[in-house]
Amino acid sequence: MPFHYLAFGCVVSSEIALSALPDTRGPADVYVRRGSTPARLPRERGHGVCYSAAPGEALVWIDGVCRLHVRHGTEIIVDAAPGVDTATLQLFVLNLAFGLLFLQRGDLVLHAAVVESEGQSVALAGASSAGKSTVAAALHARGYRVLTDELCIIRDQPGLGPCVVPGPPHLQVWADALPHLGRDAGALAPVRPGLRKYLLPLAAGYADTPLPLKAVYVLRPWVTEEVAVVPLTGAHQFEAIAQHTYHFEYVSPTGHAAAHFDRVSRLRMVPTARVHYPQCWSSMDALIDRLALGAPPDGIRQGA
Amino acid sequence: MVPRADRQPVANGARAREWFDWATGLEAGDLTHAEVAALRPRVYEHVARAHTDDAPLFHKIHDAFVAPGDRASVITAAASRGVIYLVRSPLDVCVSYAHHASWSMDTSVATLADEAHALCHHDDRLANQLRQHLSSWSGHARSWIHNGVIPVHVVRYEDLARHPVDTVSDAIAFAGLIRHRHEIERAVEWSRFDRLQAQETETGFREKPAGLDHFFRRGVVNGWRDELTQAQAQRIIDDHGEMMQQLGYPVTPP
Repeated sequence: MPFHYLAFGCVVSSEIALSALPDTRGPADVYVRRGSTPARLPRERGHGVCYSAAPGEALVWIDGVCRLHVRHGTEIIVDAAPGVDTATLQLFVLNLAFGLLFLQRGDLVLHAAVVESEGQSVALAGASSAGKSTVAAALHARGYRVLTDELCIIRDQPGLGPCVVPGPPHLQVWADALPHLGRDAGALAPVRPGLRKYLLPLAAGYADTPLPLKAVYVLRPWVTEEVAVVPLTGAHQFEAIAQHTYHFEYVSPTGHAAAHFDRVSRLRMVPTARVHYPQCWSSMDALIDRLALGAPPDGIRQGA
Repeated sequence: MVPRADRQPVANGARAREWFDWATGLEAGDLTHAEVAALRPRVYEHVARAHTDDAPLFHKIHDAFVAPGDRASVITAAASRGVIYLVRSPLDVCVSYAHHASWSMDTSVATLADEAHALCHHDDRLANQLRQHLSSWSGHARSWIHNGVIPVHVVRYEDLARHPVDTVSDAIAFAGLIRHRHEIERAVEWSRFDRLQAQETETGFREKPAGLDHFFRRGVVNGWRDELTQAQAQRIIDDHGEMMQQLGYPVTPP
């Protein structure tokens, strides 16, 4: 019997345990199956060192771990290497495979963590290592609810417009941040054995309903003493959103370039800003103050 | 480095992580250091294959060509036309590195002799650059200069400082580029050390480590004479004398 989970507003039927996701019931929207995968995609339109992409599908290979065939926005085939552990498979399914799957389903997928702000959602985008998860974790510790980490799935909701849908109820936080959050690595599960990045459960600090996108901040660590917020408009705003699309290299060869352009264009009224900030914990309060998120909900302060 | 060119993002410094993710279609942050290291040569090859322009593309690479314990070189001959190897006397490197890393001169002397030395090697955080295995100063120089598969053009920092236009002209020619002398003179003028310092003062420099006032500090040749003890200088010569001699650096006792 497959497991049934809820992820990004979809029911996921999975032959692989994805224990970081909440259980659910109901007809499945997405299937995660074990199986064999092709060597390459016959209709390939683009490829990289570890992927092949074709209209409606993508094939990814991580040597010694697994091959992932993501197709038609409904199915992820996992071809696991002998002996690979379930946590590692879960990591690549929840991050990369889900990112490609929701691209195929027509959603806009940004590389961002998202927090709740006064009943709406605020995306913290940025390059890898820009501090998205860490800042989201600091906000979580201060009582803000978090919708998602790593993948920001933006989907139109009737009557609400573009909304961020909740992702897995955890943050992915590196070990060096944990003491600042009042957390102990020994009490947390690593995202995969051998990596000192941990799943930090959101618990009561999880925002579990889609929320309209209120703003996008692009985090940019910089050698400065001050936090600077630079509003982006017009082409700069469009470029900032497009640049932080999750693994943009898959968009065109999987046949989603036009839809992606349309999706990004629809966010032109969403206030967007680049945030230059000193990447150190002593500046976290100043950074959070400049994000102007309003007061967090009462009673859900996490950690320290 | 002079790979066979590409219009794609260049793997220089802080952008290396983004560039790796783009080329592989993976997140380096979900991989171990060893998994990333195994993929890097293939990333350079992918970029080289993807490029159709004949103009060279330059990669800035900190790593040793093959570091001790690594199974493969960081870049292969299939991905590179040639190597412009920038080197500086270990005596001055030692002082510069001590200031850059905010550690003692003795630590810097020991680090220069450490074949396991790497940048961004921590496993408890996501650095903005990938792990880079440097090896010792001698090991690094030996690995590139005697790599045996990719042509190498050695550029000494000291020659850049004393004869910048001629030294840059030779490197440019090695890269297969044709440039007029006045273009090179202008480039040299614009990249004078005091101009870089002024730019950093005005706008900052993203590779400056936290806690340092400046990334561009002195840049002078033989500045070590003001900061190393005789014993520290002698130990560096003892550790690296053979390679220093190969590169034309004096190894007489300080």
